Amino acid sequence: MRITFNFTMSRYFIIYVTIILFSCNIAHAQVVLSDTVKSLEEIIIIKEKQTKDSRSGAVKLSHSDILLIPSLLGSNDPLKALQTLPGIINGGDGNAGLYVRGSDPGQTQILYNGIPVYNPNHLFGLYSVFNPNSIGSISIYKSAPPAWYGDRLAAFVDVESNWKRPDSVRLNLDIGLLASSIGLKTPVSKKTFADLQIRKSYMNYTVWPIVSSMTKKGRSYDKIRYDFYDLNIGIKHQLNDNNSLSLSLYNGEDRFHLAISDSSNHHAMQWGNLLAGLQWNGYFKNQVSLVSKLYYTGYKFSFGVTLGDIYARIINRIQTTGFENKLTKQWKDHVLNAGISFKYHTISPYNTTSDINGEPNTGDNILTQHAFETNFFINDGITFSRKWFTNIGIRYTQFNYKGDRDSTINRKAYRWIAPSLSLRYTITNELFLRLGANISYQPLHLIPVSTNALPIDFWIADNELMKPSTAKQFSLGIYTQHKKSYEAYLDLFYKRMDHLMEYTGYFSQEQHDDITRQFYYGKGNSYGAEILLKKTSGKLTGSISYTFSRSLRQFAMINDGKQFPFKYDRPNQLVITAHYTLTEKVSLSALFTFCDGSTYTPEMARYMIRDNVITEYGDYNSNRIAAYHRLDLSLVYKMKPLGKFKQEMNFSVINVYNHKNVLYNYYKYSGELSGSHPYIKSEMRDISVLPIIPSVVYKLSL
Amino acid sequence: MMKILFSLLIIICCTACNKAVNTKTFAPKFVVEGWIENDDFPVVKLTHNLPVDAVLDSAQLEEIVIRWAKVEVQTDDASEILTLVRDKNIFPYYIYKGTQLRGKTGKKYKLIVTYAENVLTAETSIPGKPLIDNVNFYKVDDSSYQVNLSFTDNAGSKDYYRFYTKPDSSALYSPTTPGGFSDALFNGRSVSFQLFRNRYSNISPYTGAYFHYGDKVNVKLTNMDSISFTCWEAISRETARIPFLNSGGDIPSNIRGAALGIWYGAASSVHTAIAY
Repeated sequence: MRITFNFTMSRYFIIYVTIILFSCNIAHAQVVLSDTVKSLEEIIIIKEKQTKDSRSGAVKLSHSDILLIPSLLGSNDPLKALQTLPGIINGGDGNAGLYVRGSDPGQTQILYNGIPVYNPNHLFGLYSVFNPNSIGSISIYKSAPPAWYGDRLAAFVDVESNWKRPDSVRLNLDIGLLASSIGLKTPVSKKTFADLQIRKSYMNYTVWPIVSSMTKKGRSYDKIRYDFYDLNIGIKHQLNDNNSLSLSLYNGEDRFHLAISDSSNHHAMQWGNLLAGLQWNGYFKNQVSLVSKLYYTGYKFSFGVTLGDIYARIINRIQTTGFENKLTKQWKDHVLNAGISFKYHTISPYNTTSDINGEPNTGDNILTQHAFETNFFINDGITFSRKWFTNIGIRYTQFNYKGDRDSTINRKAYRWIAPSLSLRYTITNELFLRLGANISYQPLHLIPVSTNALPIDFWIADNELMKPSTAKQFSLGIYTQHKKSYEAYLDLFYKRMDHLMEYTGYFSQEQHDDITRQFYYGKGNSYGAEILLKKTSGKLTGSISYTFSRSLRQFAMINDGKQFPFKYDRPNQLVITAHYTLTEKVSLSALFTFCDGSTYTPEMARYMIRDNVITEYGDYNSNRIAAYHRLDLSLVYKMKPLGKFKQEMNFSVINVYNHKNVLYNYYKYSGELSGSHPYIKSEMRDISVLPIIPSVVYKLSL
Repeated sequence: MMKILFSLLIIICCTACNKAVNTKTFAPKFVVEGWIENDDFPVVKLTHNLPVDAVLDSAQLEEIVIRWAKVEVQTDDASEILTLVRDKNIFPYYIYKGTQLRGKTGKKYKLIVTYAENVLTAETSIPGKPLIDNVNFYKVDDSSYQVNLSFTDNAGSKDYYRFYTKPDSSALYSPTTPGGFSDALFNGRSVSFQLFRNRYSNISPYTGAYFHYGDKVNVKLTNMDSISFTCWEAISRETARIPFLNSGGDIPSNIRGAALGIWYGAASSVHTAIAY
């Protein structure tokens, strides 16, 4: 059924209209506007809280969805909320990475207001860089994305600020034991509003002095310091009815310091992102609109070690300046998007410098890569009939490696066309099928040095020695909504990946001359099924998400060329979320996660060198650590308002039954080789990092 | 529709049990640990590896020693067949030692081990002898002293240094932290390094990072070739087992044949100082 609306209100407000149809749960309408309102896009009339967009394949969580997940240390983290969805595999406690459909974290692009974020996490992923108070929604595209997304193999996570204009001054204050945040969102003029959010931890005054006092002085690293801050600024200015400008700014930094008291030996780590973007939205006649964006994004990590008179430092840095344009033209049965973008990347991968006795050393490893990237795309969403809808897109990329500072690597240009096709068939008003297929390429790689997606992992660009990674993916999904209370979907996928990279291991002093020569290359494939069942109304809401997936790799230089499982190949993952509104003042949330253990390379044999027990390893990633499971609970109590201010207390408990989820294991040896009864004892030790952690946060908002 | 989805969920759950399988099986290998230092005779220890589940008691540790091998060291103008010597204080209790062929700086030495039908070979060379300028101590607190080693690198050669210390009362040198450096970092310069004391091996008890007031300490500076240095770097990483960093995997070896281990030439200087 087609419906014609005659809107007389401004376009700005239309964006936030939600219409609920009780007789047919999902429908769409072509909105033909009068001349005074020129270019409203096609509106999909949907039920509130629909998670999966059956057209684009995007899964979207709104700010209110994010608030339903139990808070972690008082913070409702958007990335943690995303990890409750199927297909996003849990890396384990303290692991910051998003492992989407068997891919590395670097194969998922994370965008904040359209600007790439190269490291989205604070230490060990306990907090992401996204302050929940400034977030409007978070979406993820896992298969056949629209063509304006590209150059990543796995997925695109699009985090949008809350650009809704406030009617009046709004203030929020969250006070927790580890960190606090304060925010102000206010109209500045009739046409302008601003949103300022600041978050700062103060563990250097609360947690670390206690930890230090419990550590044996002078015999180990007994002085730990770690804190972070982040700052979000959003300003939107409505130039006139048809044009608006929005400015996004993010700056965040983590500082970690480890030292032995009374000595001149210490380690320091520091990392952070800086993002700045200016976006112009223009609307023209004949339902044409243009979005232009100029941005800068940069991530820097440095790790310094001071051992007396020796100072050594590792620096990883990536900076991108981009200019992107997206033109949208809408017809009765088409929504055509076309665009062009330019990006300039400057990357310093794993640069090492040192200074011995006050003089710089003679063998610094410094590589600064420069690359220029141009993208063109065209994407058409075509409605053939009430039953059939297709989205077809093509993205052309030219990636020019411009060389490095020392010109040891020649210039190289890579070009590719990445097609994307999805087809939706409406079976009934409540039931849809979606078929997706796409080919993707990736010229920038996040190389894991750590096992746990720590900030030391570095970015590197393809040069003449390295080729872009590629992936071909097919997916088939079925989605349904039942009345206004339930929704469910099942996605099946298969993905084949080529030119994948693995870092050869440690950075030897003897191999320090060129890091771009220190990779193994191979291929991989992933396949699986993802199921989400969700209840969206009533006192009890929540979801059950289950993923079965396998992700395998094959590298000529690893495991004798035999296929092996990806480290985060966790075949089964079950995530249950629940939110129960007990009274008007009290609500409860629960999050339970179960998944198979990640893989590790087992020990196969031992031998002795200089009285050390040395290990021979078995097949690569051929064993699993114990299965992971954890329950988190939180309770929100809305207190009596303090004048105009709303107050609430948030109580949460992470890992309620204090299960030791193993992150890493190793053998500890002891023994005696001299004397009449020599022996060696070995004992396997498990390391887990997240015990039961209760927390309380006080929230005040205007 | 919901019934179909639930049915699919149950089917997948029932069929999704997966267990990773290790198909690589234990392969017996010889283990060679041999060295030749400047102005000293060659020493070779020969053992074999064991499955990971083997109990390492005194009987097993005696059993892994290879006692009946022919071990020969050759240079361009001489060779020597090493003699098996029993020393109950040094693992593996039976050690092949030379008595005629002394190591000389700049010369290449080939090791040939013959055991039953197996022949293992390896080559190494002895680099230039490093010169220690000074050893003194940095006072951490009233009872803790840290070694400070100063030396001058030879600008004309590519050198790979490893550091060791031992109290005068101990028979064995232990590696330090940092364990060593390539001279790519300071070619031709005089440098000094503050060294943490380290335990002798990964089965030894921890000693603490410092020496104590009055300790008489021997500090050893060893220069070796590139392959040997890379091998010892890998052994240091393997034994340190730093959590959250990727494993370096198997240790590289310069032994040809069904064997693990290292045959290395080295040149060392020792300086003795008292902590105060």
